[in-house]
Parts: sequence; C-alpha cells; structure tokens
Amino acid sequence: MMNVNRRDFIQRVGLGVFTVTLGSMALSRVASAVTLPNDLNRAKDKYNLQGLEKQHTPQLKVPLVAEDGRVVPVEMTLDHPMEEDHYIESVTFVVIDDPLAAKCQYNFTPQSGKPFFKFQSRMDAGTKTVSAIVVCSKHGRWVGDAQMRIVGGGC
Amino acid sequence: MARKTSPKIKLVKRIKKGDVIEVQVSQKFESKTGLGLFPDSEEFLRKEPAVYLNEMKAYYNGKVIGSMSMSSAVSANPRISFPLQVDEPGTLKVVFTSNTGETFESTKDIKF
Repeated sequence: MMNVNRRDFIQRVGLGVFTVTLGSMALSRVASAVTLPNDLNRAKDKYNLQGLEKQHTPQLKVPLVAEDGRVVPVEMTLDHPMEEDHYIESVTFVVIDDPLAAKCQYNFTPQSGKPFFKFQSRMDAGTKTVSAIVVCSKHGRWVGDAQMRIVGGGC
Repeated sequence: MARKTSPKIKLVKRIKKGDVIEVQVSQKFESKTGLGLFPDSEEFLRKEPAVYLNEMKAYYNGKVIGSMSMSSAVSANPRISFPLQVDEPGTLKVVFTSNTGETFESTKDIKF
C-alpha cells in the first residue's frame, strides 16, 4: 500500500491546511484555513434519517464536555453492509476550527465486517464540531457531525 | 531515549467463526504536535518538528484488513479500536510507523 504522509492525507479528503514559515526561525504560523468539500452528502434532518441517509450518515459518539483536550474519545458507528462490491471504504475525522484540523483516516476492507472505529484525539479548548466523512464504494461521500466542548486544550 | 515497546492487542475472549470482533490496539508513544501558543495571543505556532505515529496497518493471515493514516492530532499513547470479521483462525498483526521511520509491531493468534 502507498505510504501516505500528512499532506496526501489532507488532500485526499479535499482539505487544505495552510502553513507559513517565518524566516529561517523554527517558528511558523499555523493557520487552519480548512473547509469541508462541497460535494459531501449530508442528512437533511439527522434526527429523522430517510432512505440512503440511514445507511450512510455516520453516527458519532463524543463526550458533551471533555476536560482534557489531550485525550478526547471519538467513536463512529454506521449500519452499512460490508460486501465485496458495496462497503464503506474509509472514515476521515476532521475538526474544522482546530489548529490541527485533520485528525486521522481509517481505511476499511470488506473483511472489516462492520464499519465502526474509535480513537482518541487532541483538540484545542473551546466548542468544537467533529466531522466524520465516510466513503461508500457505491454511494459516494457522506458526512456526519457532533458538537462538544473542550475545557483544557490539548494541542 | 525511551525504550521501544510493542503494540498491545486486546480481543474478546470467546470468538466464533463469522464473528465481527472489536480489535483494541494501544501503543506507547510520546507524540508531540510541535505547536505552541504565540506570545500574547491565542494563535498557535510551530515551535519544533512534530513527532507522532503517522500510520497503523492491520494484517490478518498476511492480508491487509485495515489501515490508518494519522496526523499529530491523534493523542499520545494512542488507543484505537477497529473491526475484524473472523472467518478462519489465523494471526493478526498490527504495525505502527512513526513519522521518523520507527516501526512497532505485534501479533496475536486467533483460534476458535
């Protein structure tokens, strides 16, 4: 499998992170000018999913308030088949207004059996929207999100 | 330099053919984002190079069954859970790679 560095990873989900280096000093300004791609499918009403939305809108489980931004648990589940010709290929986690917006991406295979994934993220203090972007091999890219508040920043 | 440790793999005790199990993996690794706050502001600066695990790959009987790309925004000493449908006995292998080129790997046998 191809080695993916951070830049490739961000480009793959259609995002851009902009970093400006200040002179020869080791300091650089980190500006997360990040937006989600326009072509993502999103449920019209996440509390009343209809049709394809039911199988493709990622369900995110995050704490309402996290005291420690260094270790924020994030969990994604989805009720979607994992067959050779129809499965969830990947999930990518992004927090748009965070200094480190792109968190991680997990690539499933049909042998995953069920699309779920858990990890722990670093996030800066404040109110955050965590977005999970899933890619279905037949029905394209879908996004789901959840809001939370971080008390102590972890960047 | 810290001692190099292998990933820990945790599975449910009883596994039957066809089960979709949750594989819990943890790896000791003191990652750092390299960011710091700009003096007298709330803006972040890159102060030093980031050090972090940037990839995790999981194999079952030699075949890739999942892979993960990470930025430095994944927590230090990461704990990750992912699914695996077990249709035959075999060996699960997990390999972490850091952005400095270090690798950490571990295996666990799955029997019915």
